[in-house]
Amino acid sequence: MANYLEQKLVKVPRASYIYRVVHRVMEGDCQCEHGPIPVTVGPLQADVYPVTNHMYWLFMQESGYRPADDTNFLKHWVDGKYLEGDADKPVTNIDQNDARAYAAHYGKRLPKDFEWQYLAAGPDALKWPWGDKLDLSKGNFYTDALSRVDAYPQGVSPVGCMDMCGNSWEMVEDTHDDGCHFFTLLRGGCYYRAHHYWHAEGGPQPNDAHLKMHLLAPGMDRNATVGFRCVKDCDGEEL
Amino acid sequence: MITHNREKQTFILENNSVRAVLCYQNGLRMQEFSNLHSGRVSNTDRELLTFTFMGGQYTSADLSVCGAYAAQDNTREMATVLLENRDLQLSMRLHLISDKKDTVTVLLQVKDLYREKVPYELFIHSPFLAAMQMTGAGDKYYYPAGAVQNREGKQLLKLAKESFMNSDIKPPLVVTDAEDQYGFSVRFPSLADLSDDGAVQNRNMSLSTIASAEELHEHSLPINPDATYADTIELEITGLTDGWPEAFRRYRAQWEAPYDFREYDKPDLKWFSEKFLHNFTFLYGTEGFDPVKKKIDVEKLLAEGDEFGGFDTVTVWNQYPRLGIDRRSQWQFFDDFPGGRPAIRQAVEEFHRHGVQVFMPYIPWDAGSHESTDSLGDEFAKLLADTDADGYQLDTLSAIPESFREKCNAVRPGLVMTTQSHPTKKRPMEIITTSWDEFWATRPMPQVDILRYLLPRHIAPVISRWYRKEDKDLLIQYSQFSAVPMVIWQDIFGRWMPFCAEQRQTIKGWKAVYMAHRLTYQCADPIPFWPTRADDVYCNRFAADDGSETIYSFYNDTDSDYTGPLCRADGASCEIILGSGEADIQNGLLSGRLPARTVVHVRVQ
Repeated sequence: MANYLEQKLVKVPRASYIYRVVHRVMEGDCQCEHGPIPVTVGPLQADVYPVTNHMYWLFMQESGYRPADDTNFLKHWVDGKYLEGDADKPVTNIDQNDARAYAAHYGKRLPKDFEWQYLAAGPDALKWPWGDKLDLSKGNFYTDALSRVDAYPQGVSPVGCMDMCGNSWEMVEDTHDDGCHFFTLLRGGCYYRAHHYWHAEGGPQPNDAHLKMHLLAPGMDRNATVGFRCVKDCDGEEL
Repeated sequence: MITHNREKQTFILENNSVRAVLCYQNGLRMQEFSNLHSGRVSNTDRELLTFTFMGGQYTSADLSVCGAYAAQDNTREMATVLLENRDLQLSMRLHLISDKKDTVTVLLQVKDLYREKVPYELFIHSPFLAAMQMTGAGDKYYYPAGAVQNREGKQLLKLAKESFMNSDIKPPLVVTDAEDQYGFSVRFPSLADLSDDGAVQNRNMSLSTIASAEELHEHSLPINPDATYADTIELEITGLTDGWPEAFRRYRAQWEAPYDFREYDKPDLKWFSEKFLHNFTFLYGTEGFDPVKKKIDVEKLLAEGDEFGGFDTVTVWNQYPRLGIDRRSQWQFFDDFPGGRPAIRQAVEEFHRHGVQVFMPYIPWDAGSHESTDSLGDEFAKLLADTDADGYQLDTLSAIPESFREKCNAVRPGLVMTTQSHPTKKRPMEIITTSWDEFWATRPMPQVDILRYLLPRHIAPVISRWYRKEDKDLLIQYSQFSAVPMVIWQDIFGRWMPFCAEQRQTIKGWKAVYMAHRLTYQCADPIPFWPTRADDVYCNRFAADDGSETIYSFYNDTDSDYTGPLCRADGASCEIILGSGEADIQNGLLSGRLPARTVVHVRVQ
């Protein structure tokens, strides 16, 4: 039996920092808090890796989870399972509720936007998980396909999270309702960059950037480039 | 009639409207350029040209005349003077060409033999053009790129936006007497497609950018001659008897002459002209989408429209700015929309049951390298076939391949193309029969869009994108002043920016007036900035093609009521059909009271 990557948790002690998000603004900027505001993160435990196809498959075996609307749900899988070479790549083609179901099954949740930023930037508010300068050797950037989530250990963040930049976008817990729209935020960028300036900008995204993603329905909300990771609340003693 | 007096070295050209007397005794001097209808002698003793070349400044007297002759054929009479300066290795040909009707063209051609073996800069100025006048006292000027200005000098007649591509819309310079009756129209013919000023000799497109007296007086054209006589500067001067309205009508006729407007004549596309209120709805918002039922909420959107007087069309927008997160194309977005294309078709059918037509979005920049013009055209047509929608909003596309249109024609008749900005070139203008009037600024009132008057069949509703309350107020006035339909766009890609209740009510009332007089507003001969008898009072004129009525749209651009004469008008009775105030007509003069900063429409019969 093949060895598949297992999820690990890193401990994140309680910490405060000044949360501020800056990003390219096209039309339809995101109506939510961008700081700067003081926030407190943790104590919590965070997934070292984005959830992989294999991890998600295990979850489905254990829980029997099936979404009510399965349009585009895991559409890259064949006959109910991922292709063998994709086992340790981030699971994609899932929406926020699919991700939440996974997290809840393991007593976890998705990180909030300000938490995700801390997991990537650490106490020194790094611009990129590995430091303050863009380094294209640190992740899966501008390529043709997703990579394993452990393919770029040199891109590890200060708190010990892997694969936080490029490869796959990560959903956060936040769902914003401004009274007439629902949207969530994506973090970290992805390997894929669409070909035109007017497209949503892919490629590696700095730690203090997010991308607004309008929510419509599961079929639209499931993307081939968007995955997630989880965090687990805990008290200080568990750390 | 053309006369060549070799002894006096003078040419006289005279037709039904214009008399031109050119003397080439010592350089080139226009001894007279008159409008015969006026009975006046105008533009006397004017130097025709000066130039700057290789560090020196010259007049036409610095050129030797080496020939002069007259010629004529069935339609034209021509006087030609040949000039040269051997030291400069520069030659010129000056032609005066009469069309034997009402126009005399001044055409200058320049040849540069490159004395230093490389091309040097050459700037030409025409004192004759710079000082063009009708009476010399109280003349009115309409500059090509700034025909009408308010008292702050802001341009009110908006031209097409230009980029590297030259717009085909180049209005003339018009100068009239104070009564806006006799005058001259000076057109600058140019077929240069590019605004790149090094590519062509013909510099008339630069003359078309003159927007003020200062620019007219001080023009200095960088021309690009080579070793052939190519058209360099051309002034097509017509004598006017009816001032600006005549000049505008003449320009419209000249501009549209080479166009093929068969697409506009198609009966199946005319439904768009019968619409006034166009809605643009962003489907990621609740304005037109039910997030619980996951479907387009036709009833809710149309109920919203009722507050404005009823949406006549809707554009359902489901792509930008969402495209690009993954590889899904715009075509897949329709498949992945809740319920897929059948659900969209169901919504379209529901809209149709309410008499509302539906536009689908097309995003030109989403086309991937795997897509060809042919495959895109197939998708383009297939979407309309799949959804039964009535046409496309083409986004930033200013031209579409002919095959797109042809493939849509094969789907069914009646499919209309509209686009975000006006097409500016001939062929796109011929096949894209509507567009948005989006100039991104509402101030100052009362601006007008020249295309609305040049090609009134190209219905171009005005839109509000990021406009806030104050700008939306102005947008409504803009719509009223030029009598143009509106796009109601309140969800700007995720930011909700609604019209207020009062604005909705105003639009509702305006729509009722527009629809009651639609054929008059859509007449073939609308005139922008019909001459008025009062400063700061502006007027557009819409005369019904069947002669049944004429509507004068006024705007009083002051902070107080205006009472007094308004403009000349033909008719026996008048009434105010939009706005408030008073109106009276006697002896061909319309008078009345106009409230401050409002639009008033007066109907004259």
